[in-house]
Amino acid sequence: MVWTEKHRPRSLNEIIGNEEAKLELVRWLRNWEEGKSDFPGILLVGPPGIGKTTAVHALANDFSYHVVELNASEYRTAEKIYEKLGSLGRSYTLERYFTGRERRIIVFFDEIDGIDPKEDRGGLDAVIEIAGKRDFPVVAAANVPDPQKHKKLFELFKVVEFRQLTPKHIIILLKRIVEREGLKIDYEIIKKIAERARGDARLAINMLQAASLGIPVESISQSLENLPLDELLRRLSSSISYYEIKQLIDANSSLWEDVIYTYFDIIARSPVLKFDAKIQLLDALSKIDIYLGRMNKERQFFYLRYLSHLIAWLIYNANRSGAVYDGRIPEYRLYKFVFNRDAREEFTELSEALGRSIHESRRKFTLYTLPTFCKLVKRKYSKLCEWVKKVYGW
Amino acid sequence: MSTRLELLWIEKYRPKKLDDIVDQEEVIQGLKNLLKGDIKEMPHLLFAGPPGTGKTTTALALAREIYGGQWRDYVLELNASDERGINVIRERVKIFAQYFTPSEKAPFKIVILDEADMMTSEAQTALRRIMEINARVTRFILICNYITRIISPIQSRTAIFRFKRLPKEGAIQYLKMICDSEGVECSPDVLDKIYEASLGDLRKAINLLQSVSTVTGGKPTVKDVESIVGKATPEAIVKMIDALRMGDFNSARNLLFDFISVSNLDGQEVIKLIFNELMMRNLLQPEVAEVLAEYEYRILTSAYYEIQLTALLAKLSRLLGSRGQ
Repeated sequence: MVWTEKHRPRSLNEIIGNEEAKLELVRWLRNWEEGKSDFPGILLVGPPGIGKTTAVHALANDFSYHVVELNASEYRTAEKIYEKLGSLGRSYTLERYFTGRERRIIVFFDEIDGIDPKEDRGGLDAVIEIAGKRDFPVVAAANVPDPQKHKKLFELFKVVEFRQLTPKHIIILLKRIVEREGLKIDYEIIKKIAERARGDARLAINMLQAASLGIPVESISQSLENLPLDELLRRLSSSISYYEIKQLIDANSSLWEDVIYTYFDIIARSPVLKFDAKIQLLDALSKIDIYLGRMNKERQFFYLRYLSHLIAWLIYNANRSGAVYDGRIPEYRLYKFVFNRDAREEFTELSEALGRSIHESRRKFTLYTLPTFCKLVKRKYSKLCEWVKKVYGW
Repeated sequence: MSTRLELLWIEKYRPKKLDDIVDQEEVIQGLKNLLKGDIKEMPHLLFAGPPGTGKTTTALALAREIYGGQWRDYVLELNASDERGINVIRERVKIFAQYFTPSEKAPFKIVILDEADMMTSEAQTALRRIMEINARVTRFILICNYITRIISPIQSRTAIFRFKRLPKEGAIQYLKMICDSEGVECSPDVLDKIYEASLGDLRKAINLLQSVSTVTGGKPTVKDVESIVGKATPEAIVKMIDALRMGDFNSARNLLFDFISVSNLDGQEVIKLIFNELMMRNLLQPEVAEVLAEYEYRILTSAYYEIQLTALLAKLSRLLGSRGQ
């Protein structure tokens, strides 16, 4: 059995870290039960693998609720959400009829930031409406909610922030599992895992399980690093988690320029993207490209920390709008190295042949003299002159 | 000199002597006076004026006048828009000055720096230092279109010569000389048309004359001239703007890529071409001009100018597109 399931805490008391957030959850639920809460629902915000989902289930367990979980990747539209809850209503009525017991329900919308207020019509409104009826307590969770897009949710729901775990937290957690499993694992290894897990408990537990099978920690945590470009691009474009994307980006900083360049092509070329989204993403790219240029020109490496974030955001947004990597060579490189290769080579040869004896800049030569020149040397530079005729029109 | 270059009339008929330069009497007289004096006292020079008025030609002729037939050994020609940054210029000047073998004609070598006004003011400040450091063994001839774009510390250290736009008579006389020498039958109407189209830019005029003569087998008519002049903007740019007006971003992008992928023409130049064409077609609303200005600025520090140009096209497609997307 996967340890992340096997050792998932059943009670809030067992959850390590985020003490304040857990208290808030309990306080809110009590108030809600007494009808005193100002908030119809609660929104848990924070990176993955730190116990948001676990906390909801543990809360339900502690207070004798049943969790009905609607994952936003499946239930994105209002229709689907009501459909699911409707069928639920029926089955619970049946259960009450046969057993005479009434089961209390928490409705839990996971990954709510996967719902786009524009594209998934009514999905968010349905969540808000269901909470507003106050038939059941409604909990939502999100990695990276957008304060603009999810404005209503922020206004109406109580927002509780879950934070990344510290290495110390993770060490406590791992030690507990080691004890329960009766393992003999070196403390040094546990420490190493805690450092490499980047505050993600799920990742840490998975690493521990792998380590218990004798797989060296280095090889597990390095699985993100030094990927070949194609593999990196595939992983990036198949991810819907901002944090996963960010981790991939951070772990492969040597490939940033290629990643940016490929995404530039994906976005410009995408037949799926709405044109306004395309303009926006290209504008974001234009800014990333400026920071990249400034960094390279001025050797100002402070841009790195912002770039990693901006690139991850760009890819996250591109993925969500459906612009994904399809393995093609960027269009402009095709023009340079395939379609116009011969003309390009002839141009380079010509520039060298003319050298400095031409007494005008390459810029002026290209703009003003090249077409005239081609009238005279059509045969020697046939590909170049063909191109000139097409592009200049004479 | 490469024989192939002699094919180009702008090179073949480039005046070799100061006296042969067309219609810049004041400049030429000034330079001659300078040569009459003690050559050791020659200051740095700054040639300013519109394109195609003979600045580079004058600089080369002056070098010939000073050094005679061996002038090439004593002259370093640089182009600010071709050299990648001030550091490259510094290195090239340093090496050129280091291997100093004095000519008996003059105790210095000459650095001709063309398009100096394309340099940023930071680069010009560095240039000023370079000029000072190497002053013992080199003289600079800086060439620019706009003197206002040269920082004042450089202006104050140079003797400034202003070239004026060529008057019609002299230019046409020169074109006629070429026609006679090449056996081209050129009516006065044709020459008038060529002058008109090139706005006093002799380089443009000679290129135009040569193109139109070659295409027509040496018998150009006014119509032939007009058909080439009508293509002042490269067709790729014209079609690109047509595509943008249809809201067809993809075609516009392909045309752009086709255009920039062969010659590495720089991004600012491309934006300038787009700007000119939009202006000619009366499509330059304030929002459009703003977008162009913004992206020309962004290109200055960008890593991949094709990214900037593509983003620009997307914006323009939205602004110009009649039907939108």
